[in-house]
Amino acid sequence: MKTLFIIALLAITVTSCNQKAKDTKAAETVTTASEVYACSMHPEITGKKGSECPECGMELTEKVSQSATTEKDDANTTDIETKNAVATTKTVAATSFTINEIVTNYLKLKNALVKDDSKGAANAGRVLYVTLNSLDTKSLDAKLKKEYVDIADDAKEHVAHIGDNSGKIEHQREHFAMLSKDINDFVQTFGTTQKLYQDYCPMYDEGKSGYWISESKEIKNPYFGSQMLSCGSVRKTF
Amino acid sequence: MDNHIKEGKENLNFSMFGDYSQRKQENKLERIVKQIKSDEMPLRSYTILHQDAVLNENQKQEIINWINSQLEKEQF
Repeated sequence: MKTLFIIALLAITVTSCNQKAKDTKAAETVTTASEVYACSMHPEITGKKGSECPECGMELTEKVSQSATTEKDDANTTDIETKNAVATTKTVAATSFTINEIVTNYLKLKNALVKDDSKGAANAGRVLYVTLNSLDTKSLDAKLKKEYVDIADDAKEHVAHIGDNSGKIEHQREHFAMLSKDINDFVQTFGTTQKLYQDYCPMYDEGKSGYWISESKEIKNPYFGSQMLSCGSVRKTF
Repeated sequence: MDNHIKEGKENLNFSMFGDYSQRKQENKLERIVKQIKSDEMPLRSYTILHQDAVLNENQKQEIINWINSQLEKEQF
């Protein structure tokens, strides 16, 4: 029974990976389990040796040692199943440190500011504070750990201000600018599994600090919101 | 008043400044410039009693210029 369950889980995982690869036009013919390789940055992405990771474009070089039988694509995989599978892969890969949760919550905060939603930004700020505090850094070496603590300390101050200043969106945006610098450094130091863009608006703060990180290529300005939604440009892609 | 001091020290404590990480130091300096420009500090409740604590334009500019020159030196 237990083995059956594990095989089922693996099957879901593998199908969802194939699904993902297919979505991003990087679909390869389904390979047998013994030849599955993963991206060194995105262990959840697997495929034929030498093919490209759809997330970052790197070659798949890490051999995956799994003996389960690979299943053919199941076109019926529902969203929920995919989500479950992603959750499973996450727990499996929990030993490796990731800042994904920080980025996700930062993006929520950013999107609240895009919508001029001060209260939403405050709530997202409080969630991000908890995340920054609770991230497990045990697997990091001393140098990276210090780096993390330095950046996180600074970021925590900014999200605390954002959380405490519901209703004062200009004040929140000031701290958001500084928080964005921290998030930028997080991504640069620890990498991302998600495609991210560094955007810049020259109109904000006399052109000094109007940077932000976004998940979409389209510009949606969190510093001016509806006032100047499309002001800015992509500076960098992660 | 006591509370103001406590809260203020939590946000910026010059006695601890040397212990802050470089990131935090730079960030604090930038915040000082913003605070001075916005005329929020010193707090009104304080300047009522201590008129001489109000910074004039020259003093403000002097601080801002100094901070900017320090920040440029450490450009990262």
